[in-house]
Amino acid sequence: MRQNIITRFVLISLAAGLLSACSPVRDIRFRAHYHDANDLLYAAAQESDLPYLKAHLKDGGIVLFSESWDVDMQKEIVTGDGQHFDFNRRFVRDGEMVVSVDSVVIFETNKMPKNNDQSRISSLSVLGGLNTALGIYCLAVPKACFGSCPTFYLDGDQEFHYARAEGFSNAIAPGLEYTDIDALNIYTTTGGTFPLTMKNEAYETHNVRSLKLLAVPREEDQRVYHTQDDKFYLARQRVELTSARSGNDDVTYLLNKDDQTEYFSLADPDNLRSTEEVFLQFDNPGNIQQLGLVAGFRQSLMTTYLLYNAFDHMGNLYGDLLATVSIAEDDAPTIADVLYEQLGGISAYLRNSHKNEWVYQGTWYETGPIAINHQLMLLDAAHPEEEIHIKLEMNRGMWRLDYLHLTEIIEKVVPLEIQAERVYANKKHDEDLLQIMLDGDAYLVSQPGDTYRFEFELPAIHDDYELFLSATGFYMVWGREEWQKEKDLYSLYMMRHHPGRYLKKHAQAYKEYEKVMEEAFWGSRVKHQIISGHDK
Amino acid sequence: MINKQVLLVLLMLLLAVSCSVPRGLPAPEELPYETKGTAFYVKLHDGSVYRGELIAAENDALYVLPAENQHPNMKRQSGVVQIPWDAVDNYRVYYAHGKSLVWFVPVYTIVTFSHGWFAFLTMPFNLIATLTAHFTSQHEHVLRKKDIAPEELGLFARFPQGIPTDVALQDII
Repeated sequence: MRQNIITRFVLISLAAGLLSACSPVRDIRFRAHYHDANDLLYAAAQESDLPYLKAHLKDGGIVLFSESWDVDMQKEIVTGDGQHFDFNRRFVRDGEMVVSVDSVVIFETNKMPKNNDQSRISSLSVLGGLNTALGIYCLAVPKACFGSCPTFYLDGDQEFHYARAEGFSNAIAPGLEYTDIDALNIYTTTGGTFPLTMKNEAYETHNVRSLKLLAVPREEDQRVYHTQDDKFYLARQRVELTSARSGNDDVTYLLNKDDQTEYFSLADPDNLRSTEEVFLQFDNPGNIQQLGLVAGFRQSLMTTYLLYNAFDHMGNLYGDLLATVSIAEDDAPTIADVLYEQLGGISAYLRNSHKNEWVYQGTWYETGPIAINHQLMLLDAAHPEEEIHIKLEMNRGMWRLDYLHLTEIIEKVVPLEIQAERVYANKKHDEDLLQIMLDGDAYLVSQPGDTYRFEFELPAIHDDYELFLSATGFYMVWGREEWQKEKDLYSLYMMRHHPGRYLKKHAQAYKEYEKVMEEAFWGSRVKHQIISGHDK
Repeated sequence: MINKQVLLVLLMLLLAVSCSVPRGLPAPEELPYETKGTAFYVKLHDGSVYRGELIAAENDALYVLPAENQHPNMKRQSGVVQIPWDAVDNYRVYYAHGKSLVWFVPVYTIVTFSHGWFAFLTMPFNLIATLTAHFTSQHEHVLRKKDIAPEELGLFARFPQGIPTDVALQDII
């Protein structure tokens, strides 16, 4: 929280400094007029340097004196080198000037006018420094700045903060291809054509084998949720969260609504593998056969950071090692598997008040920091007669929680699979791409900056559907020149075979990254509150 | 919503920048050697506008030598236009040109392309900052009506004492 305030203070100060530096100086005191030579002499005596002098003559002419001039009050003359111009400012003569005080109607002195150029340029230099620093950082850790995996948007939502889904985040090589299902979390559908936009916002090549809409009909006040193992359940009734605590902090207001106001804690500075607990309380839901816990969550940038660290460590072997992953025949764990084992997901425990113990219910895990996942977990709490108490266990600084609530499960359902009817590449209808998407073995290959629009037709038989996106494919992160210099196979070995030690060793480095990126990235749009025992 | 606000601010800044200062103004360090009156803009209550050199600012009237060809429809008895004070709605004095910081605008904007996702935040911020800096720098040496009172305008006139008695208006060029 304090860090949040400090960051805002720095940003506001920077903006205020820039604006104040930009303000022009409205000061006309650099120029003065004197009708009397005595006043001129008095004013000149106050200055350390003799001011520039112009003598405006009664006939409209003007004499410009150079830097040395003198007023002789006894003779009532002004002398000095200068130039004489007539009333139309045509040159008359130059050289030694002797001007009678009587012929002068006004003496004019000039100093250099003040301006804010220096502070203005200084402020822009500071801004330039910040731009460069962020640019260098993004070059060093491009995944933190340039996105990851295909991102999917509904019409009207085009910023990455509003991405509804990110496809197959763990599939960083052909051999790791899999199908990823994400809930689109749309409260009502109006039927007919349903458009979805897919973007490549990263320095990656995306290979999409299949893209399908999964639709389940629903009635009013019903929702359909999917579980970690991609089973679908029709549900009704929403039992709201009554209390949520993290340590001594009441975080209910962060977790009781699906509003992107997220709960998030900072990582442990001594060890990236560090568990935290969040305690939830729900009122007695009444006589419900099957209770489910629904959550909106996504990852922080921690796994993104670690994955890119792995790529850095691979150095010029990056391509070879990824190829090895793809052709390996054994079931050796990948780095993503290792990270999952170490850092884990969001595990939920239900309180059994009779036995006075917490009973494990399941774990959510979805890779990716962009789109919020909406998933269900079935609870082993048939006919609850008391308040429901749930404990969430998760790695510190690894997860962002948007909301949690309970729901009554009606039945297990099987969604309809809907293929795209039309595909548009950069707003142009493309029949060939549609055939590729329908083929099942071919890939739609998407390069950085590409945007595709898919149009699905929802069956008219029902008014309203709960929609999910099923995306199958893999992606390849573009190698970078910097990686050629940073090969560190020992660190890569440590990451894979001694991840506990690795996560401890890199905690401080991550904290530096986290301080800048988490706050700047998410603070730019999404409301959240950082809870961390180290920052209270 | 925020995007619309940012776009509105950018549009206003671009419009403001387009209100450029006159060409041919002296550099600030040349002011002590300037012999003519400063560039002057005056708008009258009837909507007409004169731009040119400020010749004199007397108690009852302003005298402006309009820049040639700027106002082809203007009727002139002589080179100098006499404008009674009660006809004046607004005026501005341009006594020197400011430093041009315009190159910061494209350079800083291009740099934000390296910011990836953050560019949606840093690009408008950089555009606003650089356009503001350039605009204010260009208008550093501009005095508006609220900055300078009518009785102070003589400081920037060719004849601060008023039109010399021996000089006819039609002779002033």
